[in-house]
Amino acid sequence: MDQHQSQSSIRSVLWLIVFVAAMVGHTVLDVIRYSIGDSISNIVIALTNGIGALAIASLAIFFYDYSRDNHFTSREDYFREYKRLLFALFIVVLPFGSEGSPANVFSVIFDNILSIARIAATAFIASFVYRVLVYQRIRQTDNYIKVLMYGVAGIFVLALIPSIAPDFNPEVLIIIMSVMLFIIMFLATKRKSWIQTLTYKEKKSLTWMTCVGTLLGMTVCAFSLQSDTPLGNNLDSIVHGFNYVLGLNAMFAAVYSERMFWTTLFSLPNSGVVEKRTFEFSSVAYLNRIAAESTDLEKLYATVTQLAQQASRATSAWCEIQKPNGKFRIAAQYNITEKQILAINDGGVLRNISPTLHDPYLVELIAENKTLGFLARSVESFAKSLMIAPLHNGKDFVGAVYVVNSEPFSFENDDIRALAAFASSASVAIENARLVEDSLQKERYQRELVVGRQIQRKLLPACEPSFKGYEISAYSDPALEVGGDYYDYYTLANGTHCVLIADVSGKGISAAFYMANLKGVCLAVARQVHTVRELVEQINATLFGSMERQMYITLTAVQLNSNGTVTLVRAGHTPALLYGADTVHIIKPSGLGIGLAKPSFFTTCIEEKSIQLQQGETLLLFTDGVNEARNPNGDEIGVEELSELYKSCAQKDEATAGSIINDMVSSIHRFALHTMQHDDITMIAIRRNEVETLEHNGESVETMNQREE
Amino acid sequence: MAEFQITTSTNNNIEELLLHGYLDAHTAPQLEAAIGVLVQQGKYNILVNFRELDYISSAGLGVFMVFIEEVRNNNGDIKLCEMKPKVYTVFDLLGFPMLFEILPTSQEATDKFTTSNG
Repeated sequence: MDQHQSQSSIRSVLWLIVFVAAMVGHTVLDVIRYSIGDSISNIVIALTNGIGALAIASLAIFFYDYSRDNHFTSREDYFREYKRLLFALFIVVLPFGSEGSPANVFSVIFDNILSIARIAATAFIASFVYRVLVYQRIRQTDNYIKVLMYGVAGIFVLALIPSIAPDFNPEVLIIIMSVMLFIIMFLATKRKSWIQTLTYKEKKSLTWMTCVGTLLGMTVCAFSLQSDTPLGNNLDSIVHGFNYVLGLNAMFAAVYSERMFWTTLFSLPNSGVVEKRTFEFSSVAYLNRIAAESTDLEKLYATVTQLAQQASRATSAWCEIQKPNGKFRIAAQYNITEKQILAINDGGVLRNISPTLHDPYLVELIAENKTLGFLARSVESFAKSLMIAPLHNGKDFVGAVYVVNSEPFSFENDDIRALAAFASSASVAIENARLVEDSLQKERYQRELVVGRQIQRKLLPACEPSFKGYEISAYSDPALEVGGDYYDYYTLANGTHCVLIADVSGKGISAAFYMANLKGVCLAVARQVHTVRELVEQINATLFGSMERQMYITLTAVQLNSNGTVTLVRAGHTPALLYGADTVHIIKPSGLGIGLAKPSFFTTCIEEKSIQLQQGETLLLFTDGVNEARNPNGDEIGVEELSELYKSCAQKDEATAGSIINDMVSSIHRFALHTMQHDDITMIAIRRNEVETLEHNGESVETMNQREE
Repeated sequence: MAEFQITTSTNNNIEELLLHGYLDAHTAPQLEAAIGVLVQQGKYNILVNFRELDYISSAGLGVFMVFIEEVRNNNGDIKLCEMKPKVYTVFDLLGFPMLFEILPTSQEATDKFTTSNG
């Protein structure tokens, strides 16, 4: 590549040398021609023309190489080269040079130097024509270029013929060919849609430039096609007919510039719209991509801020997000310092405005605004006009984007609309990102809760116990993943069995922690006590003072004696239901919730209740989630109706503790229909069943009875 | 379902909180805040009137435990009155009648305050 470039640059230099040498030769010949006068032979004229042609050819080759290596690749290239074209046209059109025959030797030399500049300019114009055609290429461009090149070359040759054969008059042919080339030029400059994508500023300068280009091109064309103008004469004198080459190139420049001029001029008014539309589309697409790609809200705020600044053509912008506690934080800032933001927010004045907005709010001149006027002095260095665009999540205000301009009256209606459109898409993007973040967070919690539920499940007994003379069955279901209901079976220090049901106030995680704590306390205490009364008192003594004030635990402990006597202590818990002799009794001894009173007082509140259970008689313990279960109308079951349900379940012939619990669970579900369970539900049935026990362990029961007596 | 509301009134050095609607785990913090304000102002004679309260869930009861110790240490009391039977049941089950004075009328409660202070 480097080698190729250096080779081509050496070649370019060589051709330049040839050009200069030829022009020097041409000058010398011209001077000789001038000194000898009219008695000059056709051979010298031909020689002069020949050397001129050599000069032009060498420069043509030089510019051919130059054009190939300097294709337009961007708008910047295009604008730069177009300016050079204008300069070249200007050089050519300078009204210097002799009209008719030169006046003296110096003007001969001057004419020749002028010619060098004009030939160079012409070559550059040709080069521009070639490159602009390639840059704005359409399907037939290659053919058009060929036709134009051959056409120009043809006209040049036609114009040369008279210098060899003076009788031949090529003018008619030249005019016909020129008209044809004009049509080709017109066709070749069809592609102009790219102008729409220029910015307003670019279009404005292009309009001016093409206007100048049209005028210059037309002038050059008009002067050079006639050989009796200074320009035409000057070029004609280098090589006869070269003025046509310049003329045709200038014609192209004029045609091209003129077409560009009108297109640009007419697309000027809608340029703002196109510009903004393009920006809006691209910014919305960009925002969505950012929002989809990352869950990084901070990055999104930064993007939103920067795009808002661009959308409204502001000098600086920042974005504030309202925190859950109602305070604001600066989420992103662009071209503004925190100190400046605080200055413009003096007394929270902006933060009071933004939550009340539905659409962007425009302050054209801060100094004249009623609410913000007092700020004018302190912020005038960086903010004279201001716009606020609120960001909403659904209907909720989440924050705002602020853009300020150091010039007053700098925002137009279009800017407000652009910012409004932008703010609404930014809101959506932020909402999306938040939803993604929330759902990820939720998923994490969900996983934790699933683990929590598994652990809590393990804190409850894995299976039903086999206590002599009793059938026991239990059911527990937390309303949320984890709950505060607890039940368990213990063997006390004296070997008697005990069933415990408890309900920690509240539900969810906090209840679950107390529930786990309660289990530990129960396990430790149960081993050291002989009665359920002691058990409950010890539990209260251990937990009182270590629980939050508003937390408490209700529980019922039932001691099962093998003779069928059960002793029940109720620490503020829902009553127990006793089924026997086809009726249901509500068992509600006096008692106080755990954690509500200090041990000395607690003891005085607790009452023991002993009941002799007969074969088949069943005690039902439950938590308040059961009697407070609601149907779709919001009505609770209540203890009375629960008693009825219980009776119908317990009086069945084949009833067992297990069947009673199953029936109760389905009855409650039937009652609640599909209402969401709003509290944890736990039930335990304790049914006296001597038959089975006697069959296996008749003797041991008796021994135990005796011991207890 | 009626919204939970608290109406406060001061009568003869006794702060009376009249509860309306539905007291449960969600609305309990409102009551806690209301009692908290009184306690902070050093007003320790607090009478909670349940006349307009339609429902109380067991989770709503904890609120009364939060301040009782501080109030009683300052020679004040929290007394409860005019409970509907259904509301009373909830208090009764938990054993609250053993911790708080629950009186049938506001007048009786006021009298109790006056005698104990007098």
